[in-house]
Amino acid sequence: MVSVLIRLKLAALRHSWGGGQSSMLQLGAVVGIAIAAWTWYQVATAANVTDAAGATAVSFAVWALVWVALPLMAGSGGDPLQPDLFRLLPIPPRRLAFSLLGASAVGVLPLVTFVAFASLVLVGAPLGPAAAVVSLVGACVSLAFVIASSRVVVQWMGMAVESRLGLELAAIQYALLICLSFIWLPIGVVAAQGGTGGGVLMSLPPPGEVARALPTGWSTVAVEAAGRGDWLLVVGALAGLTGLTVGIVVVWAGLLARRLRGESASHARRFRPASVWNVRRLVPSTPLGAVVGKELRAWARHPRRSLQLRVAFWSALMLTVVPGLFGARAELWPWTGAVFAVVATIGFANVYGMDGSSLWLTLVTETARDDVRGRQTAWLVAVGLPAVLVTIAFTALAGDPAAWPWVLAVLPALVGASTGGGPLLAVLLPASLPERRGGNPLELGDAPTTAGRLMMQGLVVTLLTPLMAVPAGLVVWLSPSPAHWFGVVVGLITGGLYAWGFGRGAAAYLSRHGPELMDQMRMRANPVARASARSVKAGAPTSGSALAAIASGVLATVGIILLVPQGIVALTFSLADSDVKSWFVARYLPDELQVPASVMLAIVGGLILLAAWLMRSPRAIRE
Amino acid sequence: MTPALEMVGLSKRFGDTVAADRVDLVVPSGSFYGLVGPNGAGKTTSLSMAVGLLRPDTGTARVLGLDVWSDPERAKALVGVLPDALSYPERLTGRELLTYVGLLRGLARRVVAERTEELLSVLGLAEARDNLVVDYSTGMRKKIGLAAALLHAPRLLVLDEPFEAVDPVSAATIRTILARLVVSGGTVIFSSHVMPLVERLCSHVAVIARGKVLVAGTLAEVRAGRALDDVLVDLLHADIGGAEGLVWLAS
Repeated sequence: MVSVLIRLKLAALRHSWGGGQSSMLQLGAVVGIAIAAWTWYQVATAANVTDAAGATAVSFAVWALVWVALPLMAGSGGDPLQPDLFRLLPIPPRRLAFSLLGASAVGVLPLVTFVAFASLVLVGAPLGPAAAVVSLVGACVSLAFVIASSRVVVQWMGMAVESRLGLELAAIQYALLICLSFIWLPIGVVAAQGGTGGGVLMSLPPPGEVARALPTGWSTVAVEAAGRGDWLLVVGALAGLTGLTVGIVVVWAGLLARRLRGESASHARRFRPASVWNVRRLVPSTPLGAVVGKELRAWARHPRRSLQLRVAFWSALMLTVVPGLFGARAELWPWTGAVFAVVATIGFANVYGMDGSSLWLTLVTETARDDVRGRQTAWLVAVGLPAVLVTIAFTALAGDPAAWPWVLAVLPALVGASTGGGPLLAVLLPASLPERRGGNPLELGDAPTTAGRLMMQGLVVTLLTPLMAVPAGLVVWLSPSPAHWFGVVVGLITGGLYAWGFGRGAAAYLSRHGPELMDQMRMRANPVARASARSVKAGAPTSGSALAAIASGVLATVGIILLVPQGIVALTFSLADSDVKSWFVARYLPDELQVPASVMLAIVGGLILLAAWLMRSPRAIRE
Repeated sequence: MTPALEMVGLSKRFGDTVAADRVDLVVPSGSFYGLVGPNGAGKTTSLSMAVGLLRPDTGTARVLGLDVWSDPERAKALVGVLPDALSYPERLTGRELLTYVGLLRGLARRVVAERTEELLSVLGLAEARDNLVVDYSTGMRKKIGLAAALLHAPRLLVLDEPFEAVDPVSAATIRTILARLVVSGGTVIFSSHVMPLVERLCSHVAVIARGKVLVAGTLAEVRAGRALDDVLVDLLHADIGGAEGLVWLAS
């Protein structure tokens, strides 16, 4: 059965690779190969065997994180073999789980991961032939482990969001993942402050030690033990990892069986608040009021949407409130509301995609303007208002009066940018998420473009929303006291302009291109439309579009290089006061210019990436 | 008299597939119009273009003389639409969905409330009115969609497969509602695979296949004394398969 599934998977992969939707897949492959090369480089240039082993252990942990994070951030990551396909076939769940695991090992990401994991051989080979064999076995078992973990987490989360407790747990896990990508920010602030928090950070064990203790580090431990001739530990570590993997697959089989029987993970009552707000009394009986009411209910009731808000809540807690307890409270706490607003905007930026083909109601009633304005109003109530309240409360608690002009200037600009930019991005770059009854509400379906667009939305929101607050922030920064309070006025005015102007743009786009947006929504719901769209894209490309494809590929590569290594990684090194210079351009600048330069490079990289993406915009589908 | 709906040279191409090829159709006011044809014939494509959900490559559609694509606001106000296989705001209850649609149509809250209750009870959805639409069965979704299409008392109803998956009692109710609408001067056009149903209900019928209108007219003209099923098979030059091969199925 594994071979049947693998053939099925390869066939699907072939279609998506050759077709027009493959750019994201290829982009992913390029990024993956780059990270794999980085892993090899780290291991190969380590000073001694122990350091090299530490580097593999750390990189394995990072890869495991990628495996768990990617499908969560991007749905099932484009896996065409959805368990639902097998609902009607008489296959025992355990056999299905192991077979799906086998098929999961075929694909671009597993291949790239395996290439990275094979760097363990670099550690093992110098220690003798036995250690080399152990390293190869360890790499394979580790791969099975990360794949199995990834599958079980996605399965469990999808089922869990149906219950209230599960929704909360899922939100915390998402928030953890978001925080892991931004955690250097508060750590940097706390470390710079010194004090107890700084001391705690300094006393932490080195990352290599921690990584060896994690299951992903056990194969490294086994290789090192083989080098020492400690065979008991070799067998123990490998058997432990294998046993854990098998255990995970068995758990997955259990979840799969429940899912195929149509049960949710938790037997608690299904998450369904009857009526959170008595909306009727509050909103006027107009088309605008109708949209506001519908949206408020959707933010409260839809698992995907309420998950988004909770992720924002937990992210704010983890990025500012908790680190603030360890020091730097005055610097971090005032920004709690701002973090909440920005992270929540990632969800708002796909507000049309989340509603899918129900857009037809807006089209047949010709209410595009009311639709956009209504969604904005509901957003201000559901997110803007809490963000403001949280900001006021935590700025007061932080106890630094100097923070007030800053937050009161920046927050209105951020909330305005979120309120306006969200719907604009949502109509320009929609990632249509179908709602399949009885299916996993977090499942994205099988189009690699959906995952790519969601990542794109997240990137654009996290990079550009803070940028929108720069004018207000600059006024506060550059003006002498008390003129710096003028920044608050600038914040309010720019925020209002963003909300009004971007919203107007979104409404204009929606009323002019409503049917085209509808095509994209239908695409996901209707396999026939999807098939016909695919045949459009498979049609002979004109020389112009081929040129555009090449150009966008080059741009995307340049953008990623600027954004990730030259921007974010270099920034991390600067903040951590590391000596590494390597190929990081910003690191060769004078000390005080390093941080701004890295930030600029990251922003420019993000914008180039956006440009590359827009070049391959949905218009290609229509024409 | 102005026709209730005119499709004028509507064409739509998806890649190599021509989904609609210069579809011309005149739906007279007060007619009960059936649109029939095999799977993939272009029925949904044509109806979607006629109500403004899918932009035609060429051609246009007019509702009571108003152009759907150049004067959408006035034209769309006259039409009630039931699409096939599109979603609703799924996390609203049935009653909330109808309220939402009614207010979008610009009706007063009181009028919406009265009509909602009436439609829910007539269509047998009263018990499910406080359940989320996402939990409705396929047949219930058709019925709530029909209620949403009827809410603003449109002059023209455009229904895509309105009887699919609907139970026999509800189907009879829907037939009665639609017939009353036609008697009072309204117009209904719907697509269907079920020929006996079309023969029973419709005053007019059009046969679509491979994106073209093969024949259109009053039911009597199209049938010319034969069963609609046979007319369709003849028009499509289709051989009815199933008699040969498949020996293993009977063993």
